[in-house]
Amino acid sequence: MLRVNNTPTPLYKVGQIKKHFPVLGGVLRRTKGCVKALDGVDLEVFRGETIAVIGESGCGKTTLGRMLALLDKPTGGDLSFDFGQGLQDVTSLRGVDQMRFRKKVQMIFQDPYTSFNPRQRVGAAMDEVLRVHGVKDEAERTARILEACEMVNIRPEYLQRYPHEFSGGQRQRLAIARCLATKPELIIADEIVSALDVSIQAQIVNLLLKIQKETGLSFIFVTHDVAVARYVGHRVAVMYLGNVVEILPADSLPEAAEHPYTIALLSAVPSMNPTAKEQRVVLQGEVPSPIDMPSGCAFSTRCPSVMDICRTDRPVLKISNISKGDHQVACHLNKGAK
Amino acid sequence: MSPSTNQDLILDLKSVNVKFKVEDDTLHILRDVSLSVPRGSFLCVVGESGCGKSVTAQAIVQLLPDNGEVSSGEILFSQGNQVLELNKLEKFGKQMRNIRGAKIGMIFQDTLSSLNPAHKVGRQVAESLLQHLPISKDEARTRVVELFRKLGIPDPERRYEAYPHEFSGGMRQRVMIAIATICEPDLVIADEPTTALDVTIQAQIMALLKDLQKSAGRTFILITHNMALVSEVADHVAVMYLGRVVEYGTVDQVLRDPRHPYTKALMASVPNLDADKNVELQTVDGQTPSPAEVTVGCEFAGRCPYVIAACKEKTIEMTQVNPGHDVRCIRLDQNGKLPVLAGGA
Repeated sequence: MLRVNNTPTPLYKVGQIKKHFPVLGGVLRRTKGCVKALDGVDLEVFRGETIAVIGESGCGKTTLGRMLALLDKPTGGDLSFDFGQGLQDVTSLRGVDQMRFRKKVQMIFQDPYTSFNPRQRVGAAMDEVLRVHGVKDEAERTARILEACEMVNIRPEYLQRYPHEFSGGQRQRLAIARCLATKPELIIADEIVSALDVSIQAQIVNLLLKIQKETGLSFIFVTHDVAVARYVGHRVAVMYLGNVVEILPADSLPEAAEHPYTIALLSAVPSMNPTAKEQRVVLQGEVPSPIDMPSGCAFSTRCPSVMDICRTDRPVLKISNISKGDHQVACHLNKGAK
Repeated sequence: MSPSTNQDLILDLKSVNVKFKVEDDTLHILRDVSLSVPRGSFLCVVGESGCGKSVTAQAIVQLLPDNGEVSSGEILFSQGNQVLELNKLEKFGKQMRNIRGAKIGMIFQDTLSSLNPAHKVGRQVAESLLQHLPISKDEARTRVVELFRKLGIPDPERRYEAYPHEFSGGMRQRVMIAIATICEPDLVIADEPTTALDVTIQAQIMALLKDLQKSAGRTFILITHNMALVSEVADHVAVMYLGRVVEYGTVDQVLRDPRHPYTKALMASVPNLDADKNVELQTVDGQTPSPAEVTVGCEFAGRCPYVIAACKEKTIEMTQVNPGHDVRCIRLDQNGKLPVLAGGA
C-alpha cells in the first residue's frame, strides 16, 4: 500500500523548513519577538501517497500546508518538487515557472463557500482556473470540467448554478473538482471535512480515496481529527508546536505510537470502546505559546515521561528503535537511534 | 401548577412542537419531541446540523429567537415539590428569570460571543450570583475564586481580573462552566461545549462536567454531534433527525445495539481509531431535507435503505423494542430487528 510507485525519489521534499512570524509591539511597532509557526520541518511526499498531518490548533499544520502550496514564503529551509526531471528547488520560482508549479500542486480549503465567488456560476469558476493555466481550447476545457465533475458525482447541469445553491458537501465536492480539472500531482487539503456533518464527511472521505485509486495522485491531508487521519492517510505526521514529532504508517496506529504526545493525543480521542476510557492519559495544562517556546523538547512542559535531558536538548526525528522502517520519532526516549 | 408527574423526572417534554416564522412561511422545526430526563442523569442529544437539537435546548429555557415559538406541547420542570410548566411562563417574567441561570444553567459553544469582551471575567461570573442570591459582592468574589480553583483555572485570584480575550478557548469554556454552575442549578444544559476545542482540552472539559454531575448529583443535558463523546459520558441518548426524536434509550441500548436505520448509518459513517481501515465508510445517500419541505410519514424515508411504501404514508410513532428503548421505525419485526437487505446491509 505504501509507496505505490517504486521510484526511490520523492515527489516533494521539504528540508528544515521554517516560518517565523514577527510579533510587533510598543509604540514604534518594533519586532519584539517571533512566533515560530514552523521550526525546522522535514517531510518527503511520494507519488500516490497520502500524508495526513495531525495536531492541535496552533501546532503549525495549516502553515505547513500553505508553505507547501507556496502561498507563503518560508523564513528558511528548502522545498524541492519533481516536475519529471528530478527534484528542483521551488522556493525561488517566479512567473511562468511558478504557474507550472501551481498547476501541479493544488490546495483545497476548509470553507468551500469562501473559496467560490458568490456572483460567478460554478462552471465559470472552474473554466477560469483552466484558462489561467493555459488550456486555450474551449472544447478541451469543457471536457476536462465534465470529467472532473463525473469523478466527484456532480451532475453537469449543476455547473450553471451559483455557489449558494449547493449544500456544504456539494460545494466541497465542487472545490475538489476544480482542483482535479488542472490535473495536479499533489493536492493539499486543509481541514476539508471539518465543517461537514459526519454522514457527508464520510462521502467526501470515500471520494478522495476513490480519486486517489483512479488517478494515483498524492495528498497532504491536514486535519485535527485523528480517526479521519488514520483512515485516509498512508502515513501520519504528528505536529506539536511547529515541529513534526512523529511520522508513522497509518495502519500501525494507535498501537505503534511512541511519542508521549502522540499517545496522549490518541487517548484523548473519545472512543466507543469502553476499555479506552480506562487507559486515558489526560494531559495537564495547555500548549505553551509559540512565542516563548520551552528550551529543549517543546513538549517537555506537559510530558508525563519527561527527563532532565528533555529540558535542555531538542530531540530530532530519528528512525524508531522499536518499529524501524517508516516510523520516525523525535523523542529522547527513542534511545540509541540514528 | 400542573398535574403531578413522576417525581423522579427533573424535566419532562411532552409532544413539544416548535414553529419558526420565516417571511411568509412557517417552518416546523421540532415535531412532537418528547423527552423524559431523570434527576441526576446525563442525557445526550445527538444529531447532525439542522436536526433541532439546539432548538430543543432553547425551547426549554425559553430563549428561542423572536420568530420562533412553542406552538403546542408541555415542558415540565420539577423544582422542589412543584412542577412548573415552563412554556406557560412569561418569557422574560420574574419566574422564568429566576429559573434561568439559577435553576437551569446553560453552556454554549461559542465562548467568545457569550462573554462580554469589555468586562472582567470574574465580574461576569459573580453577576449571576448577585442576581439570584442575596449575598455581598465580597462574598460573591470569594465564591467565584473558589469555583475557579475547583474548575482548574490556574492562579484564580489574578484570573478574576482578566478579560475574556486574555483566556484561551479551553479556559474560556471553564469560565462558561463557572457561570452556568455558580448558582448550583439542578439542571445544566450544555450545547456543543467542546466542539470548538482541541481533543486534549475536550477530554479535560468532559472530565470536569462528568465530575460535576457525579459529585453534586446534578442533571446534565449535553447536545453534541459526536457519537464517540456520547458513548463516554452519557447515561441516556436521544437521537434526533429533522426535528424528531427517532431513537431513545440508555447508552448501551442505543450505541451498542442501534435499531433505527439513521442511528445505524450515523454510527457507521464515523471513522474510528479501532476500526478496520479497509472497510469503506458507510455513507447516507443524499442530504438532510430542508424543514420547509413538507413530508408525510418518516422524515428519513428519502435516504433510508430500508424504505417501503408504508413509510411515506403516515407519521411513524415511537415503539418500544426493549424496556426504556424506543425507536421510531415501522420496519422493525417483532424482535425489534431490521430486515436483512438484499446485497447485504
